[in-house]
Amino acid sequence: MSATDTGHGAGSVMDRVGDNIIHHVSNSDISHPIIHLPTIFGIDFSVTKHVLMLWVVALIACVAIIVPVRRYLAAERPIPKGWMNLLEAVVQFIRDSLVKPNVGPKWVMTWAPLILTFFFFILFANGIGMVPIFETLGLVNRFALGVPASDSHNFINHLLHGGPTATGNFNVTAGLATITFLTIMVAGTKAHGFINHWKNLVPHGLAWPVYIILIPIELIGLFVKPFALTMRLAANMTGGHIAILAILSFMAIFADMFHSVAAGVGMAAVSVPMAAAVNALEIIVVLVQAYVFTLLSAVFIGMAINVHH
Amino acid sequence: MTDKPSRNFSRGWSAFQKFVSQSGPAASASYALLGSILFCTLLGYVIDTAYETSPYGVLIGMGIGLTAGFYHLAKTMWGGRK
Repeated sequence: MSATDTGHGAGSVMDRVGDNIIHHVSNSDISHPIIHLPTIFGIDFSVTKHVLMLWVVALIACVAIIVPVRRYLAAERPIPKGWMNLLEAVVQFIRDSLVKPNVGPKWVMTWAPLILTFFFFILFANGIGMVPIFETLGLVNRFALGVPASDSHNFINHLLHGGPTATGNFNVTAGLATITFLTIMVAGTKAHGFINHWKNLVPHGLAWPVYIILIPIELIGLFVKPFALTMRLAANMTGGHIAILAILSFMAIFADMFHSVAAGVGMAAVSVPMAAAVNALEIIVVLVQAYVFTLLSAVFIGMAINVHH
Repeated sequence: MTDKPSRNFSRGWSAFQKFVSQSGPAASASYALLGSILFCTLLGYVIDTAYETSPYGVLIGMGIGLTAGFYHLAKTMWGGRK
Protein backbone atom coordinates (compact mmCIF):
# COMPACT_ATOMS: atom_id res chain seq x y z
CA MET A 1 0.00 0.00 0.00
CA SER A 2 1.36 3.39 -0.84
CA ALA A 3 0.85 6.64 0.98
CA THR A 4 -0.99 8.43 -1.78
CA ASP A 5 -3.52 5.62 -2.11
CA THR A 6 -4.93 6.66 1.23
CA GLY A 7 -4.72 10.38 0.61
CA HIS A 8 -5.55 13.18 2.99
CA GLY A 9 -9.11 13.92 2.06
CA ALA A 10 -11.32 16.50 3.70
CA GLY A 11 -13.81 15.50 6.40
CA SER A 12 -14.07 15.29 10.16
CA VAL A 13 -11.06 14.53 12.35
CA MET A 14 -12.43 11.03 12.92
CA ASP A 15 -12.42 10.45 9.14
CA ARG A 16 -8.85 11.68 8.76
CA VAL A 17 -7.23 9.88 11.72
CA GLY A 18 -7.28 6.46 10.04
CA ASP A 19 -5.86 7.92 6.80
CA ASN A 20 -3.09 9.71 8.70
CA ILE A 21 -2.09 6.54 10.53
CA ILE A 22 -2.03 4.45 7.34
CA HIS A 23 -0.13 7.27 5.62
CA HIS A 24 2.50 7.15 8.37
CA VAL A 25 3.11 3.39 8.37
CA SER A 26 2.95 2.87 4.59
CA ASN A 27 5.65 3.30 1.98
CA SER A 28 5.88 6.39 -0.24
CA ASP A 29 4.27 6.24 -3.68
CA ILE A 30 6.24 4.62 -6.52
CA SER A 31 4.76 7.14 -8.99
CA HIS A 32 6.51 9.96 -7.07
CA PRO A 33 9.80 8.28 -6.17
CA ILE A 34 12.60 9.90 -4.15
CA ILE A 35 15.19 8.88 -6.78
CA HIS A 36 14.19 8.04 -10.36
CA LEU A 37 15.74 4.83 -11.75
CA PRO A 38 14.93 3.07 -15.04
CA THR A 39 12.41 0.25 -15.48
CA ILE A 40 14.17 -3.05 -16.24
CA PHE A 41 12.20 -6.14 -17.34
CA GLY A 42 8.98 -4.37 -16.40
CA ILE A 43 10.17 -3.68 -12.84
CA ASP A 44 10.42 -0.03 -11.78
CA PHE A 45 13.68 0.25 -9.83
CA SER A 46 12.95 3.80 -8.60
CA VAL A 47 13.76 4.42 -4.96
CA THR A 48 10.85 4.84 -2.54
CA LYS A 49 11.13 5.76 1.15
CA HIS A 50 11.54 2.19 2.42
CA VAL A 51 14.17 1.38 -0.23
CA LEU A 52 16.09 4.50 0.82
CA MET A 53 15.82 3.35 4.44
CA LEU A 54 17.19 -0.08 3.46
CA TRP A 55 20.23 1.65 1.93
CA VAL A 56 20.66 3.76 5.08
CA VAL A 57 20.40 0.65 7.28
CA ALA A 58 22.95 -1.19 5.12
CA LEU A 59 25.31 1.79 5.43
CA ILE A 60 24.85 1.96 9.22
CA ALA A 61 25.45 -1.80 9.50
CA CYS A 62 28.67 -1.43 7.50
CA VAL A 63 29.92 1.47 9.62
CA ALA A 64 28.85 -0.02 12.98
CA ILE A 65 29.82 -3.65 12.38
CA ILE A 66 32.19 -4.25 9.45
CA VAL A 67 34.54 -1.29 10.06
CA PRO A 68 35.18 -1.95 13.82
CA VAL A 69 35.55 -5.72 13.23
CA ARG A 70 38.05 -5.16 10.37
CA ARG A 71 40.00 -2.69 12.51
CA TYR A 72 39.96 -5.12 15.44
CA LEU A 73 41.20 -8.02 13.31
CA ALA A 74 43.96 -5.85 11.78
CA ALA A 75 45.32 -4.87 15.23
CA GLU A 76 48.59 -6.45 16.34
CA ARG A 77 47.32 -7.40 19.79
CA PRO A 78 43.52 -7.50 19.43
CA ILE A 79 41.88 -6.63 22.77
CA PRO A 80 38.17 -5.75 22.48
CA LYS A 81 37.25 -2.41 24.07
CA GLY A 82 34.04 -0.37 24.25
CA TRP A 83 31.77 -0.95 21.23
CA MET A 84 33.84 -3.93 20.06
CA ASN A 85 33.43 -5.53 23.49
CA LEU A 86 29.63 -5.29 23.24
CA LEU A 87 29.73 -6.52 19.66
CA GLU A 88 31.79 -9.54 20.68
CA ALA A 89 29.38 -10.41 23.52
CA VAL A 90 26.37 -10.21 21.16
CA VAL A 91 28.08 -12.25 18.43
CA GLN A 92 29.15 -14.88 20.96
CA PHE A 93 25.65 -15.04 22.45
CA ILE A 94 23.99 -15.55 19.07
CA ARG A 95 26.58 -18.08 17.93
CA ASP A 96 26.53 -20.15 21.13
CA SER A 97 22.89 -19.81 22.22
CA LEU A 98 21.03 -19.59 18.94
CA VAL A 99 23.01 -21.05 16.07
CA LYS A 100 25.01 -23.84 17.74
CA PRO A 101 22.12 -25.62 19.54
CA ASN A 102 20.03 -25.54 16.37
CA VAL A 103 22.39 -26.29 13.48
CA GLY A 104 24.92 -28.28 15.50
CA PRO A 105 28.67 -27.76 16.11
CA LYS A 106 29.64 -28.99 12.62
CA TRP A 107 27.70 -26.26 10.76
CA VAL A 108 27.86 -23.45 13.28
CA MET A 109 30.62 -21.52 11.50
CA THR A 110 28.89 -21.99 8.12
CA TRP A 111 25.56 -20.45 9.13
CA ALA A 112 26.46 -18.12 12.01
CA PRO A 113 27.54 -15.26 9.66
CA LEU A 114 24.19 -15.27 7.86
CA ILE A 115 22.19 -15.44 11.10
CA LEU A 116 24.30 -12.59 12.55
CA THR A 117 23.73 -10.53 9.40
CA PHE A 118 19.97 -11.05 9.78
CA PHE A 119 20.13 -10.02 13.44
CA PHE A 120 22.08 -6.81 12.97
CA PHE A 121 20.27 -5.77 9.80
CA ILE A 122 16.81 -6.25 11.32
CA LEU A 123 17.90 -4.66 14.60
CA PHE A 124 19.14 -1.51 12.83
CA ALA A 125 16.11 -1.40 10.51
CA ASN A 126 13.71 -1.75 13.47
CA GLY A 127 15.72 0.72 15.56
CA ILE A 128 15.88 3.43 12.92
CA GLY A 129 12.07 3.27 12.69
CA MET A 130 11.92 4.53 16.26
CA VAL A 131 13.89 7.68 15.43
CA PRO A 132 11.69 10.52 14.08
CA ILE A 133 14.33 11.58 11.52
CA PHE A 134 12.02 12.74 8.77
CA GLU A 135 9.56 14.46 11.12
CA THR A 136 12.48 16.48 12.56
CA LEU A 137 13.76 17.23 9.06
CA GLY A 138 10.24 18.33 8.12
CA LEU A 139 10.06 20.70 11.10
CA VAL A 140 13.42 22.23 10.17
CA ASN A 141 12.34 22.45 6.52
CA ARG A 142 9.03 24.12 7.30
CA PHE A 143 9.92 26.46 10.17
CA ALA A 144 13.68 27.08 9.91
CA LEU A 145 14.12 27.02 6.12
CA GLY A 146 10.59 28.27 5.36
CA VAL A 147 9.88 25.76 2.57
CA PRO A 148 6.10 25.38 2.04
CA ALA A 149 4.49 21.91 2.17
CA SER A 150 3.16 22.43 -1.37
CA ASP A 151 6.69 22.63 -2.86
CA SER A 152 6.76 19.31 -4.76
CA HIS A 153 10.38 19.82 -5.96
CA ASN A 154 11.78 19.95 -2.43
CA PHE A 155 13.72 16.77 -1.51
CA ILE A 156 12.65 16.79 2.18
CA ASN A 157 8.98 17.22 1.24
CA HIS A 158 9.35 13.99 -0.77
CA LEU A 159 10.74 12.26 2.33
CA LEU A 160 7.74 13.25 4.45
CA HIS A 161 5.45 10.61 2.95
CA GLY A 162 5.28 7.42 4.99
CA GLY A 163 7.19 6.20 8.03
CA PRO A 164 10.84 5.17 8.11
CA THR A 165 10.40 1.56 9.37
CA ALA A 166 11.50 -0.56 6.42
CA THR A 167 10.81 -3.79 8.35
CA GLY A 168 7.17 -2.69 8.66
CA ASN A 169 6.87 -3.25 4.90
CA PHE A 170 5.74 -6.78 3.99
CA ASN A 171 7.87 -6.74 0.80
CA VAL A 172 11.03 -6.19 2.87
CA THR A 173 10.23 -8.98 5.34
CA ALA A 174 9.21 -11.24 2.44
CA GLY A 175 12.65 -10.60 0.91
CA LEU A 176 14.36 -11.52 4.17
CA ALA A 177 12.16 -14.62 4.56
CA THR A 178 12.98 -15.66 0.97
CA ILE A 179 16.67 -15.64 1.91
CA THR A 180 15.82 -17.90 4.88
CA PHE A 181 13.78 -20.17 2.59
CA LEU A 182 16.65 -20.52 0.11
CA THR A 183 19.10 -21.05 2.98
CA ILE A 184 16.95 -23.92 4.32
CA MET A 185 17.22 -25.57 0.89
CA VAL A 186 20.97 -25.01 0.60
CA ALA A 187 21.63 -26.13 4.21
CA GLY A 188 19.63 -29.35 3.74
CA THR A 189 21.29 -30.05 0.38
CA LYS A 190 24.79 -29.38 1.77
CA ALA A 191 24.19 -31.65 4.76
CA HIS A 192 22.46 -34.58 3.05
CA GLY A 193 22.74 -34.13 -0.72
CA PHE A 194 19.97 -32.91 -3.05
CA ILE A 195 17.96 -36.16 -3.30
CA ASN A 196 18.22 -37.05 0.39
CA HIS A 197 17.22 -33.54 1.42
CA TRP A 198 13.90 -33.93 -0.38
CA LYS A 199 13.54 -37.52 0.86
CA ASN A 200 14.03 -36.26 4.43
CA LEU A 201 10.97 -34.09 4.08
CA VAL A 202 8.74 -37.00 5.14
CA PRO A 203 9.31 -39.82 7.68
CA HIS A 204 10.69 -43.05 6.20
CA GLY A 205 9.11 -46.49 6.31
CA LEU A 206 5.42 -45.59 6.31
CA ALA A 207 2.66 -47.25 4.28
CA TRP A 208 2.40 -45.58 0.84
CA PRO A 209 -1.18 -44.25 1.24
CA VAL A 210 0.07 -42.16 4.19
CA TYR A 211 2.48 -40.34 1.88
CA ILE A 212 -0.45 -39.11 -0.25
CA ILE A 213 -1.47 -36.98 2.76
CA LEU A 214 1.99 -36.33 4.24
CA ILE A 215 3.81 -35.02 1.16
CA PRO A 216 1.36 -32.14 0.50
CA ILE A 217 1.31 -31.28 4.24
CA GLU A 218 5.10 -31.17 4.35
CA LEU A 219 5.21 -29.09 1.15
CA ILE A 220 2.76 -26.64 2.74
CA GLY A 221 5.04 -26.58 5.81
CA LEU A 222 7.93 -25.61 3.55
CA PHE A 223 6.16 -22.42 2.44
CA VAL A 224 4.53 -21.73 5.80
CA LYS A 225 7.92 -21.12 7.46
CA PRO A 226 8.90 -18.07 5.37
CA PHE A 227 5.28 -16.91 5.37
CA ALA A 228 5.21 -16.92 9.20
CA LEU A 229 8.52 -15.01 9.26
CA THR A 230 7.18 -12.42 6.79
CA MET A 231 3.89 -11.73 8.53
CA ARG A 232 5.21 -11.81 12.09
CA LEU A 233 7.99 -9.26 11.69
CA ALA A 234 6.09 -6.78 9.50
CA ALA A 235 2.89 -7.03 11.56
CA ASN A 236 4.72 -6.49 14.84
CA MET A 237 6.68 -3.50 13.57
CA THR A 238 3.59 -1.88 12.00
CA GLY A 239 1.36 -2.70 14.99
CA GLY A 240 3.47 -0.75 17.50
CA HIS A 241 3.54 2.37 15.35
CA ILE A 242 -0.23 2.18 14.74
CA ALA A 243 -0.81 1.88 18.51
CA ILE A 244 1.33 4.96 19.27
CA LEU A 245 -0.33 7.06 16.56
CA ALA A 246 -3.83 5.94 17.59
CA ILE A 247 -3.14 6.94 21.20
CA LEU A 248 -1.78 10.33 20.12
CA SER A 249 -4.79 10.85 17.85
CA PHE A 250 -7.08 10.89 20.92
CA MET A 251 -6.04 14.52 21.43
CA ALA A 252 -7.38 15.60 18.04
CA ILE A 253 -10.45 13.36 18.36
CA PHE A 254 -11.40 14.76 21.80
CA ALA A 255 -10.82 18.34 20.69
CA ASP A 256 -13.11 17.71 17.70
CA MET A 257 -15.75 15.84 19.72
CA PHE A 258 -16.13 18.56 22.37
CA HIS A 259 -15.34 21.48 20.00
CA SER A 260 -12.77 22.65 22.53
CA VAL A 261 -9.00 23.00 22.45
CA ALA A 262 -8.96 22.50 26.24
CA ALA A 263 -10.42 18.98 25.80
CA GLY A 264 -7.58 18.13 23.41
CA VAL A 265 -4.95 19.57 25.75
CA GLY A 266 -6.54 17.74 28.69
CA MET A 267 -6.45 14.49 26.74
CA ALA A 268 -2.74 15.12 26.09
CA ALA A 269 -2.13 14.57 29.83
CA VAL A 270 -3.31 10.97 29.30
CA SER A 271 -2.30 10.16 25.74
CA VAL A 272 1.26 11.55 25.75
CA PRO A 273 2.39 9.47 28.79
CA MET A 274 0.59 6.45 27.30
CA ALA A 275 2.32 6.96 23.94
CA ALA A 276 5.65 7.37 25.76
CA ALA A 277 5.02 4.08 27.60
CA VAL A 278 4.17 2.26 24.34
CA ASN A 279 7.29 3.83 22.81
CA ALA A 280 9.37 2.39 25.65
CA LEU A 281 7.75 -0.98 25.01
CA GLU A 282 8.59 -0.58 21.31
CA ILE A 283 12.28 -0.28 22.19
CA ILE A 284 12.05 -3.78 23.68
CA VAL A 285 10.01 -4.94 20.66
CA VAL A 286 12.81 -3.70 18.34
CA LEU A 287 15.25 -6.06 20.07
CA VAL A 288 12.82 -8.95 20.53
CA GLN A 289 11.67 -8.96 16.91
CA ALA A 290 15.23 -9.01 15.57
CA TYR A 291 15.97 -11.81 18.02
CA VAL A 292 12.86 -13.87 17.14
CA PHE A 293 13.49 -13.64 13.38
CA THR A 294 17.07 -14.77 13.99
CA LEU A 295 16.00 -17.57 16.33
CA LEU A 296 13.34 -18.90 13.94
CA SER A 297 15.73 -18.76 10.97
CA ALA A 298 18.30 -20.75 12.98
CA VAL A 299 15.61 -23.29 14.01
CA PHE A 300 14.37 -23.73 10.42
CA ILE A 301 17.90 -24.15 9.05
CA GLY A 302 18.65 -26.58 11.89
CA MET A 303 15.51 -28.59 11.04
CA ALA A 304 16.80 -29.09 7.49
CA ILE A 305 20.21 -30.23 8.79
CA ASN A 306 19.22 -32.34 11.81
CA VAL A 307 16.25 -34.32 10.57
CA HIS A 308 14.15 -35.99 13.31
CA HIS A 309 10.97 -37.86 12.44
CA MET B 1 32.13 -11.07 48.81
CA THR B 2 32.76 -8.95 45.69
CA ASP B 3 32.74 -12.12 43.64
CA LYS B 4 29.13 -12.95 44.48
CA PRO B 5 27.26 -10.52 42.16
CA SER B 6 29.41 -11.46 39.18
CA ARG B 7 28.91 -15.18 39.97
CA ASN B 8 25.14 -14.64 40.20
CA PHE B 9 25.19 -12.72 36.91
CA SER B 10 27.15 -15.48 35.23
CA ARG B 11 24.70 -18.15 36.53
CA GLY B 12 21.75 -16.03 35.44
CA TRP B 13 23.31 -15.52 31.98
CA SER B 14 23.93 -19.28 31.61
CA ALA B 15 20.33 -20.04 32.60
CA PHE B 16 19.10 -17.43 30.11
CA GLN B 17 21.24 -18.95 27.35
CA LYS B 18 19.85 -22.41 28.19
CA PHE B 19 16.24 -21.22 28.04
CA VAL B 20 16.89 -19.36 24.79
CA SER B 21 18.32 -22.45 23.11
CA GLN B 22 15.37 -24.54 24.34
CA SER B 23 12.73 -22.02 23.29
CA GLY B 24 13.48 -22.31 19.55
CA PRO B 25 11.42 -25.41 18.68
CA ALA B 26 8.45 -24.21 20.76
CA ALA B 27 8.48 -20.82 19.03
CA SER B 28 8.78 -22.47 15.62
CA ALA B 29 5.86 -24.86 16.37
CA SER B 30 3.55 -22.05 17.46
CA TYR B 31 4.37 -19.90 14.44
CA ALA B 32 4.01 -22.90 12.10
CA LEU B 33 0.53 -23.58 13.50
CA LEU B 34 -0.63 -19.99 13.09
CA GLY B 35 1.21 -19.57 9.77
CA SER B 36 -0.33 -22.72 8.26
CA ILE B 37 -3.88 -21.63 9.09
CA LEU B 38 -3.32 -18.08 7.80
CA PHE B 39 -1.39 -19.17 4.68
CA CYS B 40 -3.92 -21.77 3.55
CA THR B 41 -6.95 -19.61 4.38
CA LEU B 42 -5.48 -16.71 2.40
CA LEU B 43 -4.72 -19.06 -0.47
CA GLY B 44 -8.33 -20.24 -0.34
CA TYR B 45 -9.53 -16.63 -0.34
CA VAL B 46 -7.39 -15.84 -3.41
CA ILE B 47 -8.84 -18.88 -5.21
CA ASP B 48 -12.37 -17.85 -4.17
CA THR B 49 -11.81 -14.33 -5.52
CA ALA B 50 -10.29 -15.54 -8.80
CA TYR B 51 -12.77 -18.34 -9.57
CA GLU B 52 -15.87 -17.08 -7.69
CA THR B 53 -16.09 -20.23 -5.57
CA SER B 54 -16.82 -18.47 -2.27
CA PRO B 55 -16.91 -19.76 0.46
CA TYR B 56 -15.50 -23.19 -0.43
CA GLY B 57 -11.92 -22.02 -1.07
CA VAL B 58 -11.65 -20.38 2.35
CA LEU B 59 -13.27 -23.35 4.12
CA ILE B 60 -11.12 -25.97 2.40
CA GLY B 61 -8.02 -23.78 2.87
CA MET B 62 -8.76 -23.39 6.56
CA GLY B 63 -9.25 -27.17 6.91
CA ILE B 64 -5.95 -27.91 5.17
CA GLY B 65 -4.23 -25.18 7.22
CA LEU B 66 -5.50 -26.62 10.49
CA THR B 67 -4.42 -30.15 9.50
CA ALA B 68 -0.95 -29.01 8.39
CA GLY B 69 -0.53 -26.75 11.44
CA PHE B 70 -1.46 -29.39 13.99
CA TYR B 71 0.67 -31.98 12.17
CA HIS B 72 3.73 -29.72 12.51
CA LEU B 73 2.87 -28.95 16.14
CA ALA B 74 2.59 -32.67 16.94
CA LYS B 75 5.82 -33.39 15.07
CA THR B 76 7.70 -30.78 17.11
CA MET B 77 6.22 -32.00 20.42
CA TRP B 78 6.85 -35.70 19.81
CA GLY B 79 10.19 -35.04 18.19
CA GLY B 80 11.19 -33.04 21.27
CA ARG B 81 10.20 -35.88 23.64
CA LYS B 82 12.40 -38.37 21.80
